[in-house]
Amino acid sequence: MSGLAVCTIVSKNYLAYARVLARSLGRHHPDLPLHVLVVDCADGCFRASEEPFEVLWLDDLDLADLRTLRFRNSQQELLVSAKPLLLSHLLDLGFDRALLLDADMLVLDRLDPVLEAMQRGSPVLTPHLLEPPSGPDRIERELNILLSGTYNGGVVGVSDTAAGGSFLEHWGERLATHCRSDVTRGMYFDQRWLDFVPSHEPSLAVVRDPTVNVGHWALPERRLEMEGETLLVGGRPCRLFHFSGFEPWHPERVSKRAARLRMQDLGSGAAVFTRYAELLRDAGIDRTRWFPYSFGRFDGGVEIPDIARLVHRELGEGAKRFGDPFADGRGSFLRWLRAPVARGRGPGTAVSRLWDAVYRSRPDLQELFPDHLGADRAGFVAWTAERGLAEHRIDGGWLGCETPRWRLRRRWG
Amino acid sequence: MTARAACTIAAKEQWALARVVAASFAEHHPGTPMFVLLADEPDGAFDPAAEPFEVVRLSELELPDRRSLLFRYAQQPLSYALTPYLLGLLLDRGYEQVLFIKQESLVTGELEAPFATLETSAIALTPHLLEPLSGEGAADRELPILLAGAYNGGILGIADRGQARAFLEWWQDRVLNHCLHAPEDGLHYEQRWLDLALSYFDQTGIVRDPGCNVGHWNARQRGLRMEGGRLVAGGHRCSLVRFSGFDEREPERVTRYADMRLADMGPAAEVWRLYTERLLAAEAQTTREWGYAYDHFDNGVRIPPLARTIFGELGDSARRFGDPFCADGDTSFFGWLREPVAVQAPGPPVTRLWDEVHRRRTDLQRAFPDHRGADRDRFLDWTAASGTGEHGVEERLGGSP
Repeated sequence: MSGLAVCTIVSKNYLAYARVLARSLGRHHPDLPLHVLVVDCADGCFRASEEPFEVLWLDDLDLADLRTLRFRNSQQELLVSAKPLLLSHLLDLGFDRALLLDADMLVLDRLDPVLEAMQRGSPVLTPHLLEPPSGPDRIERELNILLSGTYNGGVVGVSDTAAGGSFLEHWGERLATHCRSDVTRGMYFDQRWLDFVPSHEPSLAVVRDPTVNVGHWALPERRLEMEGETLLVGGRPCRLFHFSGFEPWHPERVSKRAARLRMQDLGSGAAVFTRYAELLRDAGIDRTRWFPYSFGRFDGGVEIPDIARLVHRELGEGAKRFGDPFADGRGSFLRWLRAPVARGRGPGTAVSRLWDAVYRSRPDLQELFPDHLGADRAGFVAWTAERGLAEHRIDGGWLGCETPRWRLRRRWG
Repeated sequence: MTARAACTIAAKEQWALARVVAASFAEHHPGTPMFVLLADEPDGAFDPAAEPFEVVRLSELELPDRRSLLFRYAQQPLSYALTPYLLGLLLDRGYEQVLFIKQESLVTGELEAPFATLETSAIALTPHLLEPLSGEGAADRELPILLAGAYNGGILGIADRGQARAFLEWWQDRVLNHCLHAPEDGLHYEQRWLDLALSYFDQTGIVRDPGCNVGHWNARQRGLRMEGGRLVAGGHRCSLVRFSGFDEREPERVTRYADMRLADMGPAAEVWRLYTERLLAAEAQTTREWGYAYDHFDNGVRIPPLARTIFGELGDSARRFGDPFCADGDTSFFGWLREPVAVQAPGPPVTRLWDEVHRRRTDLQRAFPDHRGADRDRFLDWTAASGTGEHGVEERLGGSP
């Protein structure tokens, strides 16, 4: 096998996006099938053989300890941290080059500027901004980009070269342990790590064609307009549009990440959003968006809080003693998390390891309840119920510690 | 022959550092002038004309709203913010290739790599790292670099062609009000902005010489040491060592930015010792004592850091005060800080300065929820007993009006 592989990653609630991307890619590059890594199980929701793309499963990637990988990453984190894994896999299969596209993209013309860059260098990246933004919010917009990464993680090309390999190795290692949104510490999923690429990889090729990877961050500087059926960007046909943060069920909003932009600011170019929403509907989004993620819950059905994933990660090798992290029986990680680190007098006053971990992750709580296991325990426990559940999107069953209720009813709410 | 120059920026109290970097540059670049911007005023402490390098004065720079700029930044961020302005001045003077070197540096060899980059690029940037960090906690050690910026502002170059002026104009605009240290907001003085340069300006070249720009963040990884009478790093001849965060008065501490002792530095420690000797020979003990011309109002009252911040946040509306250093009259910024805010009961009022302090500190808001009313006396007791010390506020500014 040789040549180029184009790929994307979805969980099954994003299937409609991959279908739209695959069809639009096929229209302009009939020779390039889309490889779609599904970081999920089909669970009878769809049949891989009926999709307009080649399906790959995480099990195909020969990863050590897949259960731990699935547990330690939220759905969103896994979708992102699988990028270097998928690109490496495709190169291992024998492709010379591999190009990852985010699923929420629409190919509108041939991707020649990207393919040419992949002949020229490796890796290939696209900057969010090609020119300084204008207007009174220009600095705020630049700071947003500095916090989330100067390069967009939605287009990443690599060749089967030493530079491609060293790039994937660094990116993969960092995403394995540090794929989170924590911009105050320098992390924004996969993207901030890409800021090191110009330093590390002299063979980096930067795609500066404004018709490629057009997203909300580059608007309104890259001027959109429709000419008949064709979307123009600065007067030239758009090749690749990135609908980052666009939700077809909120058709009036350009992106949930850019409240500053309204559809009417985009002029006739807004039509591309209407069209994309129609394509998604035709691809079944009204059904697929409700497909449940297969790895969001413990075996017994209890939802996995994000903080639990983080604690498991922090335990490192020490977490091995629990065996399968999704288990919820005796000796399981879940039982350990629910065990108290401090007991109070009377019911409902104990602090479990889960809430202790929440406390340790929040300097504001440490200031508010300096002695959360002692003098301030009652206040802290009250906070877990009044604010903690909502702020951390944790199921109410996690309040308190191991209780009779817990033993009687394994599936909460 | 290309007209080359180098430059640095220092206030009086760092004058010994400027002398050392300028002298060391001259040793390895005979015939290439080094300019030192005095981000300060001499105030009789020394004679700029007597220095063996050309001293550029603040008055020679074209700075928008100069007095306001000098007021809203403390000395260190001010000197950082002046970088793109100094580079612009030297291009205007006809130099074709200009290197900026931060003042806490030692040139140890000819700076071939950055000048070579400027032969083909309009902008030359130096990354902090040339390869990923390895070993225990590598990712956690890379995160501070992502927060500070992938490129080091300690050495960069500009060539008078193509996108150079556009780059400088953009950078000047950004540092004018956003040369601040707030990594959680994407700001790290002038440096973090450089992360965007390669996106905007494809004539940006990257200097990849492991011997150029060795500092506490990479000295151990690159094996900085003396070898047969010459300094090497990463297997290359070392041409520039950076001592960011080093203070010769605390010579065993490598940098204030990290918990690193000289004893942990191995053979590289010798370079820090050598640098300390050169600073002392350049009269660091004397120059450290020279004051800063812009650290007080014109009535001699010291400007607390918070007053600079408040002034900066007022933006254009601060124009109504005129010269912010002026402490005279009812319309001065100084007078405004001393004005009482919303008096709700008889008794001594809370002034605007302390009201602003309260607004910015959640601990004070918890301790004195009603600081203008019921908690006012206790709050005023706190300002007198602790606030003045914590915020560096003199009686004439913070006392009862």
